Amino acid sequence: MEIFLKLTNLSKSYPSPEGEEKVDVFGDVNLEIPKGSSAAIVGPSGSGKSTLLNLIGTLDKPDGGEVYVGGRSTEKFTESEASEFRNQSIGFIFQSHHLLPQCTVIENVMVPALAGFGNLTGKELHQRAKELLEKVGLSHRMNHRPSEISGGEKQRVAVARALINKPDLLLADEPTGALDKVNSEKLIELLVELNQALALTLLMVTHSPEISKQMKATYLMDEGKLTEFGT
Amino acid sequence: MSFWKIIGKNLLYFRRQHLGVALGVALCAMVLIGALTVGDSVRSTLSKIAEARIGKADMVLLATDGFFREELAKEISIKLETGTVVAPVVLARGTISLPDGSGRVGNIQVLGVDESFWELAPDTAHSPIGSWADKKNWPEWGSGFFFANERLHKHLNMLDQGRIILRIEEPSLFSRDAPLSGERDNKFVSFNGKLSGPVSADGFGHFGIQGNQREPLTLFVPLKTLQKRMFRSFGEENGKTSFANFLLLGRPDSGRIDEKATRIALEESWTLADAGITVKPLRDTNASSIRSRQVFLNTSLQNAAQSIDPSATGVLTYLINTIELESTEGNSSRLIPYSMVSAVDPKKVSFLPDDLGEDEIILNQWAIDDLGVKIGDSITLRYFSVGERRKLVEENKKFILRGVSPDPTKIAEGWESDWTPQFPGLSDAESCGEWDTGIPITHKIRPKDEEYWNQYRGSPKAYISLQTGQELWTNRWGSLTGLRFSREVHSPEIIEKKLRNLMTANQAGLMFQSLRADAKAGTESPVDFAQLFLSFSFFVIIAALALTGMLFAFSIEQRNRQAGLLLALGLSKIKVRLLVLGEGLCISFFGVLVGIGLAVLYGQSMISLLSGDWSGAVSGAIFEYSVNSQSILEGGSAALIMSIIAMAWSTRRQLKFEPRDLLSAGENLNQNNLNQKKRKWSLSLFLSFFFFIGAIGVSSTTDFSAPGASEGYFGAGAMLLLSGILYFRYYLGKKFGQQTTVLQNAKDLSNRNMGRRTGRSLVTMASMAAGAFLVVSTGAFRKGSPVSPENPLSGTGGFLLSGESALPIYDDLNGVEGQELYDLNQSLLRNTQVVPLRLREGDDASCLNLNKAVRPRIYGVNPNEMMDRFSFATGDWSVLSKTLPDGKIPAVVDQNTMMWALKKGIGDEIEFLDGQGRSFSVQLVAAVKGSILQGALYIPEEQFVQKFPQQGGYRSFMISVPPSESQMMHAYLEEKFSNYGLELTETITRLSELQKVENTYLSIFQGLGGLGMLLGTVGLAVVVARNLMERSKEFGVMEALGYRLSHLRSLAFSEHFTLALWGLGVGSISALLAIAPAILGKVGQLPGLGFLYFFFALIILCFLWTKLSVNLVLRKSQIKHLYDE
Repeated sequence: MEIFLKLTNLSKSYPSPEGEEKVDVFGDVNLEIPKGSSAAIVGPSGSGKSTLLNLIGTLDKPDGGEVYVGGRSTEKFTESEASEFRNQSIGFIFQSHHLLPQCTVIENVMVPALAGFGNLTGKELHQRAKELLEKVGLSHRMNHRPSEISGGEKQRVAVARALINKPDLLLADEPTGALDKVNSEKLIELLVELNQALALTLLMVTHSPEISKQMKATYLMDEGKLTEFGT
Repeated sequence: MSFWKIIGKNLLYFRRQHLGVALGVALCAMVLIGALTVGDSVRSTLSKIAEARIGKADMVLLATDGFFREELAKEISIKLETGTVVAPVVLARGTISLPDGSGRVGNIQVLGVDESFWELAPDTAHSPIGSWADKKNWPEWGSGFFFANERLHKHLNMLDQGRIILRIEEPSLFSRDAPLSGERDNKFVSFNGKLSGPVSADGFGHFGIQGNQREPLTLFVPLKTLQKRMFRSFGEENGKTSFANFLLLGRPDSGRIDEKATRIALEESWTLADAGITVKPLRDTNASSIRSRQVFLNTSLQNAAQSIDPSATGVLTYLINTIELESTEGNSSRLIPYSMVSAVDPKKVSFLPDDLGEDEIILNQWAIDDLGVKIGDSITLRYFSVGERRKLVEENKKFILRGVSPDPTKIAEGWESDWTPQFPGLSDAESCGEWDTGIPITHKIRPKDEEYWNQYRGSPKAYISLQTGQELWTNRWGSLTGLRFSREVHSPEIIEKKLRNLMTANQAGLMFQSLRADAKAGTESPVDFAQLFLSFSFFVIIAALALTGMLFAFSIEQRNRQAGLLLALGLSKIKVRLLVLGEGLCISFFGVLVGIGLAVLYGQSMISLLSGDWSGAVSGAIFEYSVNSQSILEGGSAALIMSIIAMAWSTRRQLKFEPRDLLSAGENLNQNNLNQKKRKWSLSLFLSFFFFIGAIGVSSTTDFSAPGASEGYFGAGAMLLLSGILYFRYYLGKKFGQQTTVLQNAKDLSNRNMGRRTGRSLVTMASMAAGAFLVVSTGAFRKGSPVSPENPLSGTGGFLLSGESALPIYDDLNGVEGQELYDLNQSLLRNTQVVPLRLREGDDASCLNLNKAVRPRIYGVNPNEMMDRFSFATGDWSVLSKTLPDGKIPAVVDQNTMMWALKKGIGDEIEFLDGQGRSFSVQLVAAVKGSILQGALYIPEEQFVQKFPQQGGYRSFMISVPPSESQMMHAYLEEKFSNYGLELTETITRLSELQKVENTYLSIFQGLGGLGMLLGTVGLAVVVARNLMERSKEFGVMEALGYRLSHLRSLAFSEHFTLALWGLGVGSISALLAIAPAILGKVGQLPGLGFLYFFFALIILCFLWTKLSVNLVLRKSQIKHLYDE
């Protein structure tokens, strides 16, 4: 099976508050996820799960090691290349929806397509956003503002937004962290469905064992090490 | 840890953030204190000018319309404290010319002074009697040299010790306006001398009694030299010429004169001779008669004399042209030319019948014989009365001959008739041929008339009742020429003594004026420059305060968590607020200290501009920078308080949140959530449309050149501004704030953000727009020269020339008689009208004089000649013809003079003293709009001559002439009246000078307003930074979604710069409409290129500040903010 996401000897540390010594977050992390697969990373708070996701998503840079996505190393990415990579190859879903309050639901979905990298514009873009909203079950809410929809709906909008540029990798950082159980279940159901339907590679950080069980693989991040926890 | 220690720690830790706040406070303090120091400097300079003008003199005694004995100075002096100097001075106006005719200076102040005058100089060493005189090789004072002050010296532009010719008017005993006042033309005295000087300000070269800004052109002449020339005719009888017309009192030791003691000394010292009053023992009867050197007894004298003895006999003697017997046989008549006729109460004269009727006359035997008349015959008296402009109008009155009086007794040489006062030009004539009475001698004087004159001099040939005489010959100078007292009841000495006791010095025409108090009052400029600069700096102050408030709030919002923590730890909200404000107070105090230093630089810059580019506002005065500690204290305190208020206001919402919110949301707490209800934006659109239609309506119905075009278009511009702002509000709300269009690109997203914070965006745009509009459109009120100065309704009144003469001109220059008298070419003057005005000297109350006009100038004007001239804000010239209650005199005044120099309104009154020292009120009844009439009050001529009867002639002239002849007439009249020191100016030049002041004020407003605007752009930077920082998480998300940081910066820049451009665009388009009359209608002045530069500077600054803010906030990735939960 083709490996889509590969981490080799990845390490990350942060400067201490005093600035003299470094605090290691993790070191020598290795990971391989096949294309179209799904995986969950679990672990205690502060273990570096989100940091790992950020490194994969080029939101941060590792101290050592390499990240390969679709066979491309992100190490040498310029700022612009990193942006394009994030925009075109990756879909992000955060714990908080981070929708733009000044835009409607459909516009929020369209926002990533306006960054200037893809070719999706005008009616085509609108149509795609509409289809995605239909897919996440929110076509009836497309002209509403984020403030006018529920938390679960917001997160589904965030999922649609993550998909607008047809990414290959979906990174979800505790996407259900702010949702109740019912909405959490619905969202995970949606992500799994998308993962299967669109052959997306899905990597999710979560605290929930139930959610992790729905992923094809689960990894534990603890004390700076990433270990496979189950499949 | 104490309260202040927390503040101290905070100040230290957040010192970088506080620097910006302190800078804002410093700017505010700089402007406030700086403006106050400008006021200090103006006051201090005016005070120095006043000190130089009056030297060490404290008071002045003026003989308003006459002269008194020089000895009065000594007599007063010895009654005053030792060390007091009382300097006798002769003040006259004159002209100077060079012997070769190469130069002439008209209308100068001539001062006849002695050494005592120089003792009162600011620094006697610099005067002609001081030690510097030797250093400068000046000739000895009194050696026949004239000394010019610096200004005159510069005007003369000649070498020292060159010879100059001085021409002054020989004073008349009696107003030359009066009948029988002597020769028609002025009597000039010309004498020459060598010039020396110049006398500097320290040497008393700036001396003047009027509180005007510029020192007069002054020539100092040794007192004795001037007296001998000027009063030569006074001294023909007894050789006495030592007269003066004012005394200058002061203490060279810099002590102050006791005003009360001085007034007492005057009351004790003055004599009847100083007022020209004599009590003359009569020759033919056992009586004495009170006489005045002014021929007619004025009201004060008459009242005082009659209060001594109400039964005193009043006499009115008048020179008549003919006593005629109408022939019963034909047209011919027999007549006696030029005779005196006395009017007297018949009951008090033995040879007159007690019941002498009003139309009855008594002739003496000589006249009876000459005319060959008999009792009952009709006798006609023909006489001149003086009409307007000294026009002689012959009038007549018929009488029935009632009886005969005995012939007068012969009068020995050197004696006068008991009945006749000393008429100038008549009483001293050897023969009838020498008469110089000022009336035309048209009837032949026969040998028998000469013989009568030789024997009886001016003895009357006829008598009529006093009542009839007063009806015929009473005039503004009086109704009696003598008042007789029986010597059996009152000796002349007793009468003199009683009269002297009954009259005050004021009534005798001797008036004290407190020179120092007036000078002090004068330095309180009608324009408070401190206030002026404070108001002109409005935008700068607002900008500085807004900046202070914003930066402080920004800084405090960054520390919301700290506030939340303190609250959570149990500190009360008040205490936390005090902590915040305590910090603000410390920052403000530091800012004020920095501001004091900056204020000195700012104030110096303003003063330097006032002496340079803005000198038009102060008529070229040069100011010295001066700082008063009180101003620093007041300005600093005001800046401190205002800054604290700004800080308190801008942070007022912070502690309204719960500690939990403060702790969790931190600096993002104040973000508007967009859960607001949908607003009705259509109202903004409707109002925008309404104002737009209003602007179109006003501008399409107002002609660019019409009167009031400036105001009309300014209003239209203001409406367009409102319309633009309201439309932008609608646009923000409808187009950007609500989703009417689907996002097409990232730019749409940026636009959408403008509508996100409608209030903040609108304030940013509106403040830019309003600032730009106000700063530029104020230019609409800049005044330009009238397009047609010959238009009577323009600020020139249709007069193309105006001017003043040093010496009065008595006759009407429009009439043939006057033109012949002055040898004027009548055909040249065919299209010219000269409107003469009587002038009572006073302080210049125009905007060209920074001093407060304590006693403004008064002009006497014939309202009929001014009818339909000038544009009035209130009333018109006809109000001068109205009679006001309580003897108040109506006055027309220029609106600017009334409002700014006099600080009065229509209906207000100003008190003056008349020629006899009596107070009277002038009421402002009409105001002229922006005219050359600035600086004085215009009262009816009729009332002017009543109040100042001794002041004859006209010294001010307004000349209406076709534009093509203006230049020629200017030169012609100045040449013809060079002896009178006539100096004319083109009214349009005068108007421009006056308008320059107003225009410069506008320039200052625009300059400082512009500075405020430029400073305001810093506020834009703060708003941008604040907006962006509030949205940092959003930027983080967008980065995560693949937006490049540079793209985000570009979007943020575009969003905010668009706001500024909207503001500048709306403001400038509205301003262009407001100044359309200046651009298209040639009304006022065209705005200069400065405005284009100003706009470019604004755009560039907006660009730079926005760019700087965006780059500072978004210089690093914002992704980290995604996790600030």
